Amino acid sequence: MTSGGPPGRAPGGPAVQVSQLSKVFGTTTALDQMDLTVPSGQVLAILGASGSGKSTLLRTLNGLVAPTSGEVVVLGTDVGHAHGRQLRALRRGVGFIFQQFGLVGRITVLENVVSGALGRIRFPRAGVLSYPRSLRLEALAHLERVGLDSRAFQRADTLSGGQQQRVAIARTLMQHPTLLLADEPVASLDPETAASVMTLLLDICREERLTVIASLHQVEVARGWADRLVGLREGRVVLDASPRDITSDQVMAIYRGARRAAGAQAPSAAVIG
Amino acid sequence: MTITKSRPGAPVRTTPPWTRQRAGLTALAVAGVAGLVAGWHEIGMGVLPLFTGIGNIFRFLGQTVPPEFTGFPHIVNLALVTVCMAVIGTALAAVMAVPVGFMAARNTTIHPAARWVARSIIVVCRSVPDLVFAIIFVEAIGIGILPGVLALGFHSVGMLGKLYAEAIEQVPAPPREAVTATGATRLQNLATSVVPQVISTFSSTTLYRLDINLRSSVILGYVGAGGIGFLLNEDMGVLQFRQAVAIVIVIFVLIVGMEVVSAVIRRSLIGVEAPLTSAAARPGLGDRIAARALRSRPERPAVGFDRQRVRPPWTRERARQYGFAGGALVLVAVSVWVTKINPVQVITSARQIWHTVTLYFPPDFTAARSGLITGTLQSASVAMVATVVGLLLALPIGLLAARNVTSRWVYRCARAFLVVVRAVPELILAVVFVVAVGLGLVAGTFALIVGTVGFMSKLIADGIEEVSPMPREAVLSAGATRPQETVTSVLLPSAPALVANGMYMLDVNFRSSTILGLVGGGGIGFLLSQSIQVLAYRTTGAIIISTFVVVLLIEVVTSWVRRHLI
Repeated sequence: MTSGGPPGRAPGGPAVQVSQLSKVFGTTTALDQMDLTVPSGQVLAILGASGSGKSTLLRTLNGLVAPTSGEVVVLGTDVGHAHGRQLRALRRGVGFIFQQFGLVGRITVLENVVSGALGRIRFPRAGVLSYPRSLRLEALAHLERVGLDSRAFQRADTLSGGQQQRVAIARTLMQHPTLLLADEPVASLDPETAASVMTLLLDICREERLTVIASLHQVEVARGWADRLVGLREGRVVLDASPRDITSDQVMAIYRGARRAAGAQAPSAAVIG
Repeated sequence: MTITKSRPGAPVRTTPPWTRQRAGLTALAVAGVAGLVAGWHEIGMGVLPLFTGIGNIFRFLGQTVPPEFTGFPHIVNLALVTVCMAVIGTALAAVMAVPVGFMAARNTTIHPAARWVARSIIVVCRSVPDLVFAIIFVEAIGIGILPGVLALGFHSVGMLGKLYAEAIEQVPAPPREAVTATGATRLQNLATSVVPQVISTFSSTTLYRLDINLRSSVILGYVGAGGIGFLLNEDMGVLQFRQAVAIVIVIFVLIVGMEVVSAVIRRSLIGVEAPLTSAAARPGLGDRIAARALRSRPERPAVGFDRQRVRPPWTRERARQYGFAGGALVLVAVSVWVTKINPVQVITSARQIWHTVTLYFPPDFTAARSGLITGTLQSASVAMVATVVGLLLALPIGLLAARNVTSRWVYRCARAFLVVVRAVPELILAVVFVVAVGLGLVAGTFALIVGTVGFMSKLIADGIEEVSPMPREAVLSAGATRPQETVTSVLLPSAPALVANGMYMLDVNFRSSTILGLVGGGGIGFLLSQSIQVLAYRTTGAIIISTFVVVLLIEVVTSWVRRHLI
């Protein structure tokens, strides 16, 4: 029923290798010939203003968005050219935490968590009708890990935002990932809840020795949390440093630059607004 | 900051600028009024024949009392068969509509071409009246229940597929993306992130269709598709009015009963608080009763958490849902058993059905050329006049039936009146009006007016009850009078929805007017029944295709208006 980890992963090699990656949506260039290498086990925070390409980058890493040009190799898989079975095998090893949690509202919390195992369930119980007891037990254990086992049989849409994100984390654990991508995981939460969810996420990542790439809005959180900071502006890497070697002011510069650039580019927008 | 600067000297614009949309809508409105006036003259419409014919109605009604229940067990038996026919037909439609719906929905289709095919199936099934399907199937496999089931099934695929697809398109995207990101296959993803989100809407839509199909199945009996309509047609044919009225009473009880039952189930599936989204699926009397019966009682406190429990506990909610799902399956099985339908017969007679369909091709437009154009125009006129007059009558009735506008007793009387009006099939109304004003278009128009009033008043009343009280208070506190307040904050905001629903009604009425021809309601339906009687298949084919084109045309205009008005 379960098979091994994703194929072709070279131990010790970089978890993510991106070279000359571009992504164009219509007339908008989201990623502009980007290069980025993330070694295994690193915790990396991506910073940047809205529209700087953070979400697009994360989504190209697990194939939710297909690159326009360039190469994306994640855990040894060439994501840009992977299809069907190969792509699903990669996604199984890559956890993804969404800003909007992405829980299915009308089913129970437990079923949401078990759905993280869909990639490794095979015929006859293909996860279409029901799930085996062993998976349900495992899901309960993950729920216990995030402190929500007593909510297992509630509908997911009855939970608060912070609880929903904890369930989403449990769902990701169900995948046994080696790489975790998080797209502004706490941007929809109030500061206090955000801090507790962030701590939980970090604890789990350290414990499981995951490679983490998280886009974040809160510069201070990122500085206290990550091994490495990468700043994006208009689809390019404009900052790449260790949080110890850099001041907050230097980090904030990537936002100021973005604002100036936006203002210079679209004078007509200012008139309309 | 300056927002816009008008050129100096240019007059300041105080009305919205002319866009193509606005020009189009205005042109349509003008065309509509012109069509209404022309249609009125074409039909020879007037209120006078109703007054002169009122004596006829009373004479006719005099012949129907007291109702004669001599064959009562037989009537009830046939009524049950009719219910079974509606149940199986709806189940068949639901099974066929699920794949159609998934292929027609933008977010779940496998390919744009598949989407196009699915949407074509939906349009064709919707615009060919169930009566026409019934005629074809009766021709192919003989008189009986099965052709009725197939007719209901195929016609309902149109509406169900359309509403299923709309429900699927409303499923939020983030959970689907999240499940994709876990490495799930497409089928697993649909089962996990789409099906749970749409299943209650699907069920409630299907139940609503069951209501409609029960009404239609009465009519299908007229062309030999079995059930109680068959008996009604026989009794009317030999002028056994007292027995016919007994049948009408049974039908009436059936329809009201079904509305209540289906509403109770819909309530408990969707939950009392969630509104139905579709314009066609509004809460009715049954919903109100259900709301009262199911008024949410506090659930028992959650059972103590059991570490080894891997399945949800049996709460009342969960038990109810499984109960209804099981009940539905049992109901369909029992219906098949009662009606002794042989599903294999569909397969064995597939060639016969195909052969019958080919009889209608190529359509022969020559035989009825002038008649076809006149007939289509007449039916369009009937639909137009009935829709507008019905809408005008429905406005005050709808206001009276809105809880937040009238007093409690007026509200109750108006609602009861609407339930009664809605429960009488249009075909029976048409028969009564034919008796009153004679054969022809006017009788058909009156029947459709009554139907429109029943349907639209309810929509209007429900719409008004949903109007938010806040703008009303705001308008009142600005110093407006009561009538001013009703117009600005109740009527005007609901005008676009009213027009859109009116367009939908026009579509429905045109399709109905093809059916009313069967009992002397005139128009294209009269041609249809004539050509069927003389077995002029290819002429029938031509009539069906003309109907199809008109319905399609109305559908295109309607969807354009809906898009730009709402």
